[in-house]
Amino acid sequence: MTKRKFSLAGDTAFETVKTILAILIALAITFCVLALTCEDPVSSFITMLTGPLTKMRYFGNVLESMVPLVFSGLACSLLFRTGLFNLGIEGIYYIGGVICSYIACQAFGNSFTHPLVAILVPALISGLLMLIPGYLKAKFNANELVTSLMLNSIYLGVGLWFIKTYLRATDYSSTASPLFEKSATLPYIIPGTRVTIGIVLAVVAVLLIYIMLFKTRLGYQIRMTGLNPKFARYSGMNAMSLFLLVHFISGFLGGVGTSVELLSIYSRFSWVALPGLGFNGALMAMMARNNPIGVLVVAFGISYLQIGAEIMSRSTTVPVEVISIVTATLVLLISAQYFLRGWREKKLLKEGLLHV
Amino acid sequence: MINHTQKPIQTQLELSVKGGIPLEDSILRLENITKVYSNGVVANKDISVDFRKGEIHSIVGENGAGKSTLMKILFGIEQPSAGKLYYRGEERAFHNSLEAIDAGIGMVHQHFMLIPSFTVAQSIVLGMEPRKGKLFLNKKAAVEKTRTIAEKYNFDIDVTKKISELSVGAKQKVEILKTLYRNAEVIILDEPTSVLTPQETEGLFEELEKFRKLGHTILFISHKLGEVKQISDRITIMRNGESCGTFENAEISMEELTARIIGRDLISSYDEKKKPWPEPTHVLSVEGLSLSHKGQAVLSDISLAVKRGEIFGIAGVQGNGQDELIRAIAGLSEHTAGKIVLNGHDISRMTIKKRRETGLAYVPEDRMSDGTAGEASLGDNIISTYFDRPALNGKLFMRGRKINAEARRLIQEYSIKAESPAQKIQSLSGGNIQKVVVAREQNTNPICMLAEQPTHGIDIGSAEFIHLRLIEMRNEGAGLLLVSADLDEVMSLSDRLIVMYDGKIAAYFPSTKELSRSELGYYMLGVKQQTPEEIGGALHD
Amino acid sequence: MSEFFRVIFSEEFLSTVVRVLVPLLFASMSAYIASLAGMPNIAVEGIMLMSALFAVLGSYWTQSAWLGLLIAIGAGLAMAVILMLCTIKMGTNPILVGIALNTFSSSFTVFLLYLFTQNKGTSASLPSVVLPIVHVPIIEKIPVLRAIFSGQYTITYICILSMILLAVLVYKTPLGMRMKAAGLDERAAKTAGINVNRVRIIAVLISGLLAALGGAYMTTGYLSIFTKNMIAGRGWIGIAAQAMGGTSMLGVAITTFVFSLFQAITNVFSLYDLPSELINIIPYIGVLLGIILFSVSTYRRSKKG
Repeated sequence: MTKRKFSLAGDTAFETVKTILAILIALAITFCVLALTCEDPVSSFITMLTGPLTKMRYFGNVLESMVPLVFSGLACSLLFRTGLFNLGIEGIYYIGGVICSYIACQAFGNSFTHPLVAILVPALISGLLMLIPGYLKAKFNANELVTSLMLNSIYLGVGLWFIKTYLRATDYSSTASPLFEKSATLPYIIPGTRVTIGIVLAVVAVLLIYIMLFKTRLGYQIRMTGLNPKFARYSGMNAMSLFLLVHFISGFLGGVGTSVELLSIYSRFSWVALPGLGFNGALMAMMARNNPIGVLVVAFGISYLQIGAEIMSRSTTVPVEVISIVTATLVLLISAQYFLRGWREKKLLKEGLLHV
Repeated sequence: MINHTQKPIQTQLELSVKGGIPLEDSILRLENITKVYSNGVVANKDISVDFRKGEIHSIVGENGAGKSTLMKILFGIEQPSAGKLYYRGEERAFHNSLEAIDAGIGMVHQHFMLIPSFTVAQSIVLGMEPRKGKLFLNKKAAVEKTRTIAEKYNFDIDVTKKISELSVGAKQKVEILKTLYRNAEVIILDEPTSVLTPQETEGLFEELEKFRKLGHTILFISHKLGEVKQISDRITIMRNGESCGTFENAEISMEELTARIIGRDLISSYDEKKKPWPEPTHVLSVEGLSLSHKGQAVLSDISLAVKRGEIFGIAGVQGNGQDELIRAIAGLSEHTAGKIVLNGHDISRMTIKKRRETGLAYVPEDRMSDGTAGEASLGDNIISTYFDRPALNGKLFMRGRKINAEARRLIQEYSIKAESPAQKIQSLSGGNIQKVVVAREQNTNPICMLAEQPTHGIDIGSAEFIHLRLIEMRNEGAGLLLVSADLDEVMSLSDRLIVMYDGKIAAYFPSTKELSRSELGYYMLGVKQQTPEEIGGALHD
Repeated sequence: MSEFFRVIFSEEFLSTVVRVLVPLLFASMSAYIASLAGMPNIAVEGIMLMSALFAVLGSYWTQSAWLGLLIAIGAGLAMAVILMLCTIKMGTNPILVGIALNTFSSSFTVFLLYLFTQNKGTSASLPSVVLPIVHVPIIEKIPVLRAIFSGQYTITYICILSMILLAVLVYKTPLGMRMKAAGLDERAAKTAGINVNRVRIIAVLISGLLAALGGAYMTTGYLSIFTKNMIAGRGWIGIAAQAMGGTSMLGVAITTFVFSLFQAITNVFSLYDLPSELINIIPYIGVLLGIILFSVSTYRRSKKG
């Protein structure tokens, strides 16, 4: 075997360089915006970057807010591996949430079985629901982007109507469900924070998906089918059932994600619009290149920055939404195929690693 | 009898230099055109040809002879590495198709570039639309102009119809009209009859006649000698990237043509490496296989049988049904009639996976599109067809270490130049990628192996290595079905072989020992066709 | 029930439909022209939102509604330029870029809003200027017609003009035909000598312009202030309408009209205790069924061949 030369232009090294550069550019742009909009940009910037580490409570916030992003990111990354754009996780988060809330509002079981059921049932139903756009695409080649977007709005409408008709809290001013039963809510695990067992479930999910994708036969087939469906078919794999299975797992993860989020952070269901967690998951998946561990890291990173910005916004006039600049720049740079492509090709040619 | 003493007629250029035919009559002239690609492949070597006004000039040759490269140079898609091009006496260089089109060269591609929902008129004027003022489309003018051109050339076509409503022959007419609309004087047709019915082919030839009379130059690229003989004024033969001369159609016979196209090179033989296998039972038999697509017959009544311990070759110019036949046997496409039996089992309706489990392996023609997943690692690719074997992996989990060890073993055994099994396969050279594919397929220990163009586009060293591997499989009792457009390859490897032409078996040869290339050539180029009894031997021998 | 019908068949209702139609039409045409050329613009919602804000900010800074409109258009074009750069120069998938831009816009508009008004919900504190309602002489005396063509916001008339210009572009100019070719078959367009990238860039810019006008309409007429996430899904409805209409501008327009009809009816319905959420999703169900039927029939037809 030929000796491997280390090169900054090699596959993984290149990705790391690209990512680091993207982060630096994003932070630089943010600093410029801060410089233009507040009195003390330097300390604001530092607060944003180090805030979450100053108090246990803050760090707990980071862990809380990354949970739904992890599940959504995992779900989207699986879907994106098939090479298609299914943005249906957004709608799943809503309707799954409604189902979870319904169960959470009933007196049922104990503090173990209640949340278990309240998470598993929406997860299963969500998995089945996700099969709809998947099947339509696999069998009839119906545009997944459009079908999933339409279903998002349909699920919102149906879910909202259901809440208003069957699950409306009479003692509450805006539209919301009654309070969840105490037994349904997830327990806190870190004292001094609001971090629940949700974060553990999120990490477990990441590990399970990672193991599934990279260590099991099923995962191997899923990956190959995603990379080249013709090759998968030629090798004897059943592309159709693999495709549908990916959709089911993805929907299942979405269902888990929304349930965990509701039972951890909220005391009742009060979403009257699509929560945006599904789309954020798409961004996570994009930045993580559909890698499960990457999703965990990215979700942590984005949550960290988000909380940092929130902390900063409390002591300055800069609103927390400044974080949108960071996120947008990061997404666009990291997912750009051609970002630094010219640099890379020149380097590869110089090092003789590029086969013409 | 081939007249071996006849010398080739001098090229037009030599004649004109010696004061024979006036140079002004030539509209397009190539002088010493050479094209070398960046990977070292010499596609065209020192080609000098000239094309006259008002002639139908055919360019013939096998696959890989360099015809398409030459046409790409003429049409500006590629630039020559050396040599000159003269159009109407002026030295020109076309950097893109637009420049070629502007000069007066039009090309009708083998695969149509038409948009189904556009009308004929729209398709023809697209990119050069007649205008009202500077900003607006003049739709009436578009219809009128296209209608006028169609009538001028007697094309019976309704320019207001949508492309989706047209027959294949009519679509081709639209492609031709596109070139005429842009005032093409030279029209290049790349294998135009491969998609036409016999009637449509006759219609096309009538039109080409008209073009000729009107002073156009037609460059007709084809491997079907019957047609070439029928319509050409002159014929240029290409072989191995070089021109073998330009001949007046009337002054060269079919046999002579065939001989020049195929050549008389001695081929190396792998005979010493071959060992006989005692019980030659059938591993694969195909009976009456037919396949039609959208009403047109792609495969007609193919019957053959492959025995243990032999390599059964399928010779023929690419595009005559060989690929469709292999894909039907492999299970990638469904056939319309006939039976496929593998090792005693009827696999005609089996899934691809089941066929592989019954003992079938397949090295596909396109290693990047079917044979590998470019972004996946070498290791992932090398186990894809047998990853669920207990020896390799458990019921649920993949055994990374075992896979790695297996991959390393195969890398070693096949001398694959790679850094590690984790390397992305697309970063390997073509020859090494192909070795991975062959290694994988051989490693499943199949009873029958399909190999399609197994050494296409790879270096000689890897090619020979793969050939030896195929013979090794043969010697160990497998039956191989080998498809190759490379005559050397198919003749040196095969024990028995057939020639396919136009979706049918044109010939069957029970032995390759005394077979000559030109003999094969007749069948490959559609000049000759064996009787059904002779062909029957493919199945019944 | 008869009360319901009386309301539906009134001139006021017709006027309402037109008012509701304008932003939806801008949204769907924005999606239409981009998708026609083969560069899908998912960021319609985000562009509309950004332009809505900049219309307010712009008119506040310049104290001129028209200059504010220009600034809003500038903002929309800027977003379109980002979409274009990322897709063409950086090779990112346009869908991804669209999602990123939408998420960015929804946050960033709040950021800017807070920056200038110290309020994260509304721009009510800003004395922004709106564009006038136009009463057209003569027409304002004709029943029915006057409900549609008179007494509407300024941008409504810009909308009518834009639609005419767009139709002329797509159906009567070479550029329009080339956009269509680029979107239907990139290879065929290239061999016909069309500069596919250039054509797509123009399409995306027009798309941005239309979305910007739709967004500006929301804050310079329909409402006179900017509120957080005020586009409320109109961009997505536009995309849905485009998905139904495909390459036919008339198809997209009719679908948009039907959607706005439903939206207007929902406003009426809300007086009658009928579930507006369910009525609201009828357009989406319609598109979904439409896509399913289309795909199934294409599938059946290809099997026959």
